[in-house]
Amino acid sequence: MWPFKKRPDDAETDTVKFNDLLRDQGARQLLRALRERDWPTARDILTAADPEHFMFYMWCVSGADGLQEWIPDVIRAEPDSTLPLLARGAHAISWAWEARGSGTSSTVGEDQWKVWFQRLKLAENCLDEVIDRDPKCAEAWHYLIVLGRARQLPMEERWRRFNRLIEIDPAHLLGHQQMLENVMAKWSGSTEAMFDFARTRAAACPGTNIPLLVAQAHREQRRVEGSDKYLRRADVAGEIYAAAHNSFWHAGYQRSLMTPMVWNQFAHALTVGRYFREACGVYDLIGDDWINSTPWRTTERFVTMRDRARDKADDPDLDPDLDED
Amino acid sequence: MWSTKKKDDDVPEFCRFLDEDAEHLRRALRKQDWPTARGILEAADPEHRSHYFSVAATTVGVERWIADEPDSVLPLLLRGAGLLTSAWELRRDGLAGPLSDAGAELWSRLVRQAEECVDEVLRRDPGRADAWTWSIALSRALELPEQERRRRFQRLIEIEPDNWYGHEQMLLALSPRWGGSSEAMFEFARTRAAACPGTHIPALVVLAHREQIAHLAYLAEPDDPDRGEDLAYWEPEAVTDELWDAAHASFWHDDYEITLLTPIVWNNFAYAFAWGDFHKPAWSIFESIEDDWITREPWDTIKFFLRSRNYTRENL
Repeated sequence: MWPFKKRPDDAETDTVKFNDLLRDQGARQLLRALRERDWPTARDILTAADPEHFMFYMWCVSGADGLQEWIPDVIRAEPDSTLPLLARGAHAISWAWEARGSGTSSTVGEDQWKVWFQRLKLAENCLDEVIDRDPKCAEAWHYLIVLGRARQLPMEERWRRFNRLIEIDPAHLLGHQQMLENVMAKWSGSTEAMFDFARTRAAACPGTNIPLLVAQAHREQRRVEGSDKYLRRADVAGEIYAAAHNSFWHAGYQRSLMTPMVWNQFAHALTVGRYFREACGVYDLIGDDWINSTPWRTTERFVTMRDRARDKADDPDLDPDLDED
Repeated sequence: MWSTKKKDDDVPEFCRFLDEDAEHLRRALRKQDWPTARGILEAADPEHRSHYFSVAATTVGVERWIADEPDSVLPLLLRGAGLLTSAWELRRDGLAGPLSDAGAELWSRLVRQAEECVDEVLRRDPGRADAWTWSIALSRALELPEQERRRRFQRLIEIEPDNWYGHEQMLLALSPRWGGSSEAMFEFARTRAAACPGTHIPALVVLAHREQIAHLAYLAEPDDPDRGEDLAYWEPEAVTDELWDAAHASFWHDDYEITLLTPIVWNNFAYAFAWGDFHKPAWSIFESIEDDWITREPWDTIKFFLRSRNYTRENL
């Protein structure tokens, strides 16, 4: 999910469409306001949001094209508000990524590195100032966690930031996902640290979105091992299945804004792990309305995997026209 | 009708439900339409009833929404069976297979909840055959002593002597993958085949051999989720002779009647005969199966079914 620029909301094949804005009116209005550089409207949407929506909206802000050109004026105009400062800090990270590119470090030139570190430093300064003035700002901690790995900070500092976040919001999904990245081997963590983090946090947050981390850790390990066969292993597939039970299938789970993101990732993992029956249950929840581009990338891929699961699970089509009685 | 993809007309499809009511049942349950489902589940004929219950019990997530009814144990039994179905998925390789900590925790939770449901049903309605079938299934999940597994089976056959699903569960309860042994499993299949001539039950002999192949494949490659099965297993004369006798005790028996579950018997024998190089008998079963009665088990893919059928035809 990081970095991102293009939003695949326009992708279309017949009736299957990606819906990365979670059918959220506020997110749509926010993106329009940001495109039009209409800060008063953006501010109203951001200010009225509950913590989960605010998390999602800041994610939209962080990817807004050209924000760096006009947000400094807002900061000057509203010196008492931390909101534009937070927006600038969060956005500067993806702006830095724009300079760096998403390849491995060997693909990055010397000048690009310079811009990358300048922009990350800008982000850090903005977010530090937000934290100085508003230490309970979960989103500032969330983006400071992202900076932890981008700026290659010591592990202790990455953990300090994460621990501050979960003191404020114990089940903050994007912050957890960012910390998972922080402890992966590719960001100078380790495989053990990654699984330990995912499992510990999943166990600490039953009935929330957080057990999704377990599926994501396995997905990273599958990338390392280079074959889906890893995800078909009985212990691996079974642990992902158990994670689904501890997340959205848990009796205490409450559906909210981010839930469809969780469904999509589990539907994919359960299908690859040959939990076809269970995957079908999740595809039913996703329906036509809640298909995210992550992790499918293309709508064709989504349709192929869904139909394969339904075929393997003997799940008949639910189209009411097909009912004889 | 199963997917939006266009199907090639020449390629047959699996017969997934054996009859229309079973298919309606699955669809009703996926829509959480309990009144329609209950109507189908209350079939009078024992074989139909046991089959419908098995279809209901393997409908994903049924245990998460089914509501208790004061006058009926059926929803409670279905919840228990659904919970256990969800638990089995964690142990695809039997008791010896690897399990994550979270998987083990979930397994214990689901099995315990399933046990509470099934025990309660048997307390309220001890004459319910489907409850005994699932109580046999629970006995291996709970790793109960063989004696207790056999006691539960005994209770089942006092009520319905040739209940197919209960026999299948008991075969698994005695299988090496679930804490039994190859000897106990084969002894059970042979004994029950002899006790139930002219029924589906002698097909248990095929099931026992299939279970044995799966067990051997697991022992050979415990860590490979894609491990294959050794088709040459079926070739020795000792195996083919036994299957020949089992077929004569089952669907080739004079007293055998073709009923709802017959395609299960046909497909199992067709598979065993095809790879036991018993081409003529295999072909005669493929002719009965036609394109209409291909069950998913034991083939798993249509491709493998066609390969088996073509192999038989080419060797006639």
